[in-house]
Amino acid sequence: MNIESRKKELVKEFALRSETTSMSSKIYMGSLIAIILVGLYAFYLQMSEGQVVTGMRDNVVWGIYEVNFILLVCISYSGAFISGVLYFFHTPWKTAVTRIIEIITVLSLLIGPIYILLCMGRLDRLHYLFMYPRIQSPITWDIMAILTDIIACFIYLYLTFIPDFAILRDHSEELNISKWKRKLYKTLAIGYQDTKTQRNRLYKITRAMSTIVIVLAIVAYSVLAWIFSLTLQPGLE
Amino acid sequence: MKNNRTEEGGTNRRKFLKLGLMTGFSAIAGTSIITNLTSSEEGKTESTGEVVRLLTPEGKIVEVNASNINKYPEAYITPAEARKGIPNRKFVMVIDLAKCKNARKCVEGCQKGHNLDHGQEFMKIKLMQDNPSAEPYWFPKNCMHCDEPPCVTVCPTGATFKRDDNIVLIDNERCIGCKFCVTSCPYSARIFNWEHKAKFDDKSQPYSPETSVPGATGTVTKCDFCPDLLRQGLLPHCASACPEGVIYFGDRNEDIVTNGAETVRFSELINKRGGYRHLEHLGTKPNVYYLPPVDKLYELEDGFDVSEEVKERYKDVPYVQELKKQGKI
Repeated sequence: MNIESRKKELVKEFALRSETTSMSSKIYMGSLIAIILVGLYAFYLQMSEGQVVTGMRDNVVWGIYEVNFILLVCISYSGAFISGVLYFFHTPWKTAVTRIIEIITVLSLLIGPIYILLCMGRLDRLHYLFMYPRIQSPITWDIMAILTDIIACFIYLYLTFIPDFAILRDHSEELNISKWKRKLYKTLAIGYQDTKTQRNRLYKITRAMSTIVIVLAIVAYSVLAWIFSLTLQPGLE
Repeated sequence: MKNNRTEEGGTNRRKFLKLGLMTGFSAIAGTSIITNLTSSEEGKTESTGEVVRLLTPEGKIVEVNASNINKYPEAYITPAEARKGIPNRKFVMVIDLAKCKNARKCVEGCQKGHNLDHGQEFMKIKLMQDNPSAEPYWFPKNCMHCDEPPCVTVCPTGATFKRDDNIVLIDNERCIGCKFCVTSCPYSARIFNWEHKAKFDDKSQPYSPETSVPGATGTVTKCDFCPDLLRQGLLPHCASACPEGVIYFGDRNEDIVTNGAETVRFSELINKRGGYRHLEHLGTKPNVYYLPPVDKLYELEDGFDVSEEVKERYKDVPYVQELKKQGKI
């Protein structure tokens, strides 16, 4: 049918990247890994010498770590909000934007909490947060809110990906890709055959998730606001 | 019936254990006090073979090897025990700003008592000016041990806690170093241990939240009202170190505060002298009271003669610059 031939065209046009990795992208990835290695070295320095190397002192105890955390959570918040709202109100050109936004949302939500971990004085006691939790503390709520937000955003991203995985699985014979990738596409497509009932069901789930993502973004950011409303130190209050 | 009996047995056993513990504690305390006395009288002899005869609270005389006892002057309080507090006490501090001349003896005494570095101050002395037309005054500031402590509210692990005897303490074996409490304290009372120091490895004294010694890297510490001294019936380091008797310390239940030289009624002192609490409007309900700096005993300038560091610290303050121009500093 028309749709089937269109799918084939799509695969031919866009699936080339999954077949080979170009030189420029390899260099790009290498440079990114180099930056991460520098960061890891800095982390090692901080662990061995103490947080004194950060240059933070008693009047600036969070500094750039907290700023970065807020920035990344803010990005994820706006991303979740935009994609959720676009999907919820049936905006016609949503599909072009939603995917990029959702990927940005999930990635920034994954990177953001790393800054909190870096900011902690005793990383070896991280499990105390779960061993001796206090629900009066906004930090406990923040952990819950951010974790839920990550999971919800990830599910939402995955839901929008399912039809594409199905296309890749159906046309994997035509592509020159290794076996494990074919297997991966097959598992990720979880038996989606693009029938009418399936499509309807997926649409309903995605719509529900878009609402949940909006709500969770509001919750997560309200908890952050709660944290900052409790800072009474002069200069922070 | 059966239940009753077991319950009775339980309480009896508990009572018995309690009694045993109490006598144990008092014995330790008693022996330590006696040895303190003897050692101070005889001039410290540290031979290991020496045998000391002691009178126990039960009235028996025992012979103990001198090297075995008095390792710690006070009974050791574990972090779990430190959460309970000293029964029937409500500790309170009154700072008489009219008498303070910035001698900085309280700061030094506190640093010595808590094994702090130079520059790490549980007790700080600030130059304070209420309004442009008023003369500045010296303002000793420690932890306020609030009744509604914002630091305790925000702690995610319960590492910092409020005890029944008004004291807010930190258990640095529980602290994860998130520094949320540092940002939540409007009095900036909390200090973070930014780097590892050799003194943290000194395990000759077991860690207790009541002494805050030894510290730990990456955890928060602060003024603790010296509960280890309070248990022995002594004043905190700052109060006993002050040469002017600025710092009164006492018990609200007994309605008595003392600076070592004179003992006064807390409520009378506060009422008569117009005592107030720092940043009352925040609703933190501090337990440190201030008597306003009226009819000051010392000139403000006297406080600058202590060290060059103090002069350096306030060199940008217009009032201080004015004093310098007049040649008073």
